[in-house]
Amino acid sequence: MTQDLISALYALATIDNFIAMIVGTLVGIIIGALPGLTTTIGLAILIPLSFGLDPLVALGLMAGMYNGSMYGGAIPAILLNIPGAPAAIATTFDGHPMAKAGKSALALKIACYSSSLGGCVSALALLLLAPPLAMVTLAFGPAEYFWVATFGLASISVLLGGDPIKGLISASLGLLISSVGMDVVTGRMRYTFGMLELVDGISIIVVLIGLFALPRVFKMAQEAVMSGVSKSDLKLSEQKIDRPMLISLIPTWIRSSIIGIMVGILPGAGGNIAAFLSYNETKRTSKNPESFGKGNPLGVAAAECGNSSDNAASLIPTLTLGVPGNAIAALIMGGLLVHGLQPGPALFVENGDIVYGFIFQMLITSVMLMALGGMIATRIFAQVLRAPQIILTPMIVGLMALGLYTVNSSSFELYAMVCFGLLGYFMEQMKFPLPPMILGVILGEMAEQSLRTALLISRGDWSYLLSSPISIGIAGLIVMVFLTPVWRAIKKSKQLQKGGSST
Amino acid sequence: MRQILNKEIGTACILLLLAGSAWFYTNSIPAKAAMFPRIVIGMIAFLATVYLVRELLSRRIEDTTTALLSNPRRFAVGLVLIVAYITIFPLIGYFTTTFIFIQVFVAAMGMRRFRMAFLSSAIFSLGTYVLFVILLNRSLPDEIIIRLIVGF
Repeated sequence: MTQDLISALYALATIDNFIAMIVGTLVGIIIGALPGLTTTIGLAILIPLSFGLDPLVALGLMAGMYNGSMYGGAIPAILLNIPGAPAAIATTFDGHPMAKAGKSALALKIACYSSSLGGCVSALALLLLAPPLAMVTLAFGPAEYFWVATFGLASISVLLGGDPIKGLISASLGLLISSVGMDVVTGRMRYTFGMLELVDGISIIVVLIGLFALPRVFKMAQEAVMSGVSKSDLKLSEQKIDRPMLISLIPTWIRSSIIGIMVGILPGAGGNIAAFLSYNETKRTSKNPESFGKGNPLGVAAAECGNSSDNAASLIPTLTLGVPGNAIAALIMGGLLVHGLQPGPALFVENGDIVYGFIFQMLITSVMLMALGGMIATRIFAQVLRAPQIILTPMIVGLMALGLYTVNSSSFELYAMVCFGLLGYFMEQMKFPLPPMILGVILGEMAEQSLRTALLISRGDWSYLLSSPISIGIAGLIVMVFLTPVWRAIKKSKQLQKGGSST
Repeated sequence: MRQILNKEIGTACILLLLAGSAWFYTNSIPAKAAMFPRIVIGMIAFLATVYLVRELLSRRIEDTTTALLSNPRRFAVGLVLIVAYITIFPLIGYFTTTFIFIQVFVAAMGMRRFRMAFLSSAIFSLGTYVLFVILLNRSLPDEIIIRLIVGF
C-alpha cells in the first residue's frame, strides 16, 4: 500500500493533473451555482469529454467537479434563496437570512470553508477505510458478488425516492438494457434486432448522458427562462470570520463531518440527507435552537460541511465492491469504466497508483476549494447566474454531442442518446427514480456473470448461492432493505392512529 | 386526478407489454443466454402487475399539477432541433452547425436578444474549437462550409 501511495503522489505531480484539478473545481463551482444544473449533469457531460485523456487527468477533472459543484450550490442558495443543487437546500435555511441581514460574504466564506473541510475529512475517510475493506472483499466468490450486486440494486431502488415499486421497476429496466448485445458465454445475440451497433451492448456513456443530462435540457427548453439574475441581487459585502466565530464552528464541523461520512457510506442516501441530518443535529444540540432559520452561521456550516463530507465517503462501496450507493457514485463508476478501470478489490491491486491518485485528488481539490472558492472567485461565479438559462440549453446539447461523438464517431449513439433522454424525461415526469436504472445498467453484467459462474460451479444447484456465511449475511441485509418500507408504513400508521386518538 | 390515474395505469400497461414482447423475443435465443433476461422480465412483469393493481385500487388524491409536458410546443420544437442538430453536424461539421444551432434554438424558444445569442454562439464555438481541436487534438467531422468559403 505504501508503495502505491508513493507511486500515486509521484503520478499526480504533473502540471496536467494540477490544471485538471483546478479546471474541474472551477467548472464544478459554476455548474453547482447554476440552478437546475447539478453534479450529476456536470459529470454526465464531463465523462465523454474526458475520454482519451490520461485516466488520472480525467479523474482529476471529475474529483474537482464533484467537490466544486457541492460548494457551488451554496452560492445561489445564500444569495437568492435558490438551492443550486438538492444538497444545498439546507444551506438556504440560514444562508439566505444572513444575506438579507447584509452578511452574504460571511455566509459564503463559512459555506466555502465548511465545504472544503468536509471534503478533506471525507477524502481522508476514503483513504483510511477503502483499502482494508477492499482486502476483505478479496474473499468474495461469484455467489457473494451476485448478492453484493443485488444488494446495491435493492437498496438504491427501495431506499431512494418514495416509491419502492417504481424504484425496482427502474432498476429492472436497467438490468434488461444491460443484457443487450452479445452474450459473452454462448456468443449469441440478445435484443440486437440485427443492428451491428448493438453487438457490444449499449455504451454506458450513452445511457449516462441520455438519462441524466438530456431530461434537464427538455425541461429547460420548456421553461425557457429568458433573463438572468439582476446585478443588484448579487451584491456582496466584505466580512471576515473572526477568531471566536472560528472556534464556535469547530464542534459543528466535527459533528457534521462524522454524520456526512456515515451517510455517505450508506447506500441510497446522498448529500442532501447528510446536510439535513447535520443541520438538525446542530440545531438540536444548540443552546439557541430558536436562532436557526434566522441567520445562524452554525446552520450554514452544518449544512455545507455535512453535504461535502458525504462526497468521498460515498465512493467507499463504489471503489471497494464496485457497487455505487447513489447517482453521483454511479457516474464516477461510469467514468472509471470508460477509462478501463473496473472498480472492486482488483482495482487497488492492479491500478493502485490510479485509485490512490484519485483519492488524493479528492483531498487536494477539497483544499483547492478554499482558495478557488474565495471571495474574488465567488464574485465572478455569482455572475454566471446573470446568463439567461435558455442560452445555456443549446450549449449543453452541444457539449453532450461533442463528448459523445468524439468517443466512437457514431451517429447511432447520438440518436440512442436522444432516445434515452426521452425515456429519462418521461420516467422523471412519472416519478420513476433514474439512479436505480443506471445502476441496473452498470451492475447488470456483474450480477449476470456472477450468477452464471456460481451456477456453473455448483452444476445448476441454486442453493450454492446461500452456501457461505457472507452470502447469507448479504442476503439477510437485502431482506432487511425490503422490509424497510413495510416498517416505515407500520410506523406511519401507528403515528396516524396516535394522532387520531389524541384529537 | 383522473388524467394522472390514467397515466399511471397506462404506464403499467406499457410495462406489461414490454415484458411480454421481451419474453417473446427470448424464445429465439438459447436457454442459457436467455436465463438472466427472463429473470429480469419476470421481475418487470410482477412489479408492473403490482403497480397496476395498486393504481386500480388506489383512491388517494393525486397531484394534478404534474403534467407530462409543461409546454408541448417548446418541447416539440426543442426535440426537432436537437434531432436535426445531431443529424447535420456529422455531415457538415461540428462548429458550423453548433454556431447556427445555438442561435436558431434560442430564437425558436422566443428569445429576441439576437446580438447576445450571436456573441454567445460565436464564443462557445470558438472556445470548444480551441479546447478540443487545438489543445486536446480531438478528431471531428470536416467543416465543409468553412472549407468552401476559405477555399481549401
